[in-house]
Amino acid sequence: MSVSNEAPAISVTGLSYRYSRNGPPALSDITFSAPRGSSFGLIGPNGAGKSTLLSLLTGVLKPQEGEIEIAGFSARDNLEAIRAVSALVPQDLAFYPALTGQENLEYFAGIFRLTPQQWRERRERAVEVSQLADVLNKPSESYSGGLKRRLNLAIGLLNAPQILYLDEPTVGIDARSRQTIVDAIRRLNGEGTTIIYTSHYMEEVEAICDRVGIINQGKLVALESTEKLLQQAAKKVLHVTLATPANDQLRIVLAQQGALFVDDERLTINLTDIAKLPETIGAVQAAGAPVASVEYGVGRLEEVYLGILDKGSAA
Amino acid sequence: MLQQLLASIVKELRLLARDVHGLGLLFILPLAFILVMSFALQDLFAARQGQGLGVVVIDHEDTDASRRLYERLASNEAFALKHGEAAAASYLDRGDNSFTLEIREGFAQSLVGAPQTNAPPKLIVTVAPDTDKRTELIFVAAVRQAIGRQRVERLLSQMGMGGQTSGGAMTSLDSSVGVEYAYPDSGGQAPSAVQQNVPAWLVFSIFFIGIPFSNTFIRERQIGTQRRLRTINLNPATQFLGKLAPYFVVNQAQVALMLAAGVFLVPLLGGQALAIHGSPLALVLLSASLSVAALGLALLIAVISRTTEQATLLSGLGSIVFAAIGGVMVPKFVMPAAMQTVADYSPMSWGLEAFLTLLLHNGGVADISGELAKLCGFGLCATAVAWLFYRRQE
Repeated sequence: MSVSNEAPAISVTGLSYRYSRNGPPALSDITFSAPRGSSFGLIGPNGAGKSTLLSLLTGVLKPQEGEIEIAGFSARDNLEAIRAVSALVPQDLAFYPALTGQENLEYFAGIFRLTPQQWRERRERAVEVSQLADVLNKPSESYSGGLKRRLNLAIGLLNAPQILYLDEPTVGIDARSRQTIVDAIRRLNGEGTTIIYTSHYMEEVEAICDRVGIINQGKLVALESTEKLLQQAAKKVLHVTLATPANDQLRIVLAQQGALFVDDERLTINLTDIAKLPETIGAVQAAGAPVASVEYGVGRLEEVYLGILDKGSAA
Repeated sequence: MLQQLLASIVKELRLLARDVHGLGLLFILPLAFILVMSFALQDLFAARQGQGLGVVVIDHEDTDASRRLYERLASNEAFALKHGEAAAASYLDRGDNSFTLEIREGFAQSLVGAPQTNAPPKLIVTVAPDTDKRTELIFVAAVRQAIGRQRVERLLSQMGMGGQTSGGAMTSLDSSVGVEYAYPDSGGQAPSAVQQNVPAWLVFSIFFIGIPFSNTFIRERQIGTQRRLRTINLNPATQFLGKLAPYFVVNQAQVALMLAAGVFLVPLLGGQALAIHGSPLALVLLSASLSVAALGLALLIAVISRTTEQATLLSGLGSIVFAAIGGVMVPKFVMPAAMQTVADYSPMSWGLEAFLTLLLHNGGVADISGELAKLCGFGLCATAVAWLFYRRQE
């Protein structure tokens, strides 16, 4: 069976799923598609249905209602072809801690049934993309959290997947390791791999994904390009970054001026009229806040996401 | 499929090689059991083979009658008699002897005429603390029988009919008591401690493989590798086979090591060497069938347990219960009849019986075919149930 090059990487239509016959739906009428080579972010609160959706897309669960097509193959009757073109990097560190990185790669290469030539090529690429060369012969249980996440990624790359599912691949690791993984994923996407990415780190989704689906209580409540979502949030909002963290007194003064703190160094201020920008910044500085930088008209995915969830709760 | 199977086997062997505690459990623990139990039970099993119960005779009288009593008791191979002179208790505090028999002054005179019921006893039997009641009754009965004969002899002598009961009559009496052993084909001998303990703890160790096996299986589920494997084109049957095959090899290594310990190590330490009789093919088939049974059970426990703690408890407890009722901890031939019936339901008993048939009866494949079928059937049934549970969990 040949893969249809015209078909989208992922096409999901009217997908619903229940874990028990009389229980609440874990997923309800989900419809979306992801073109080949795209990067799709799937975000939502814990228990929203992201993992269930990933399990259905990767063939761990069988579809009950609706259709899933991966690279043109139906998930109902062609799982073998689907598995041949995709790979999952699970949230769990799904490898053997007692084995070295190299031994883990050897095992999964055998499970992926790689030929000796494929093994040489793909191992080299996976190790290079994940930057594991220096630690490959050490027991993986001795790796740092970041290295473990990178080994988890490298194992997925052995299948040379056209579609790569990443389930919170940077959870619980330091900023530098996160950046390494985000860079690797952007590189893979740039080389044509379709990325399906779930994370609670909105800045990562912003950096990686060109399209975002927000899932809540089993329903897809938003499906839009990242750019459009950010534009929605960008309306009439001034982002100010302070040179030093604000103390309590300063926070009170700025709050009285309508500032909302994101954290100790970043705040947002509603600004309906762009002409009042200099005046607003002047007021912040007058309050004693050392302004490092300002952005106007740049949205944050987190704001959009929280706004959509809040709207859903109110409804 | 072959490539996936090989990859799984290599992975499992690597994991096993790094699991020092698991290897210790599989090899060192049963080896220690074999050595300790073989030596600990050596005397018990030796006693069954004709080395009688130790009896120290303290003869205060030293008359023809007392010497004759000694000789008569000494002729009974159930007792190993020796003379002593010290106080009775000093012979019984180390567990070497079961009784002392004190012959007091006046013993010879007490044989004259009718027994005096009110007279103080001239023979005192002192029983060691570790001698059971049944043995005590047997010994006391033997002493009474000996005295009775001496009285009869004395009476016959007084009546001018000779000084002894006739040898012919005694032979006739003795031959009316038949002695049967549990393993008549082994030259009339019951199993020695080594012959009982090596197969027993070997069977036990094969079933103990359930602990490391189920632990690695559950750990795979906990760390998410099973979920990852379900997104890859890997047949669950291949996955199962890839996990079971290395443990099958480990089981065979256990058999080889334990038998080698019985043959070479135990005699080096002063024990009796294990003699391996029977068909080598039957031994190989038995070892394989035991492994099929043990791994089927291990797989079932691994699939139905949620945590490694549950699996360890189930595997450990299951092995101990099967061992207790299956004749591993207590030899089946010393169990009461009801317990021996219960033992017939333990896979360990099937394995042990088959081993003893080979080692003591010089058996072949046909002699143990029933046990082989039961072991394989048990293993395959357990595997089938495990498979059903696994598919339901998916």
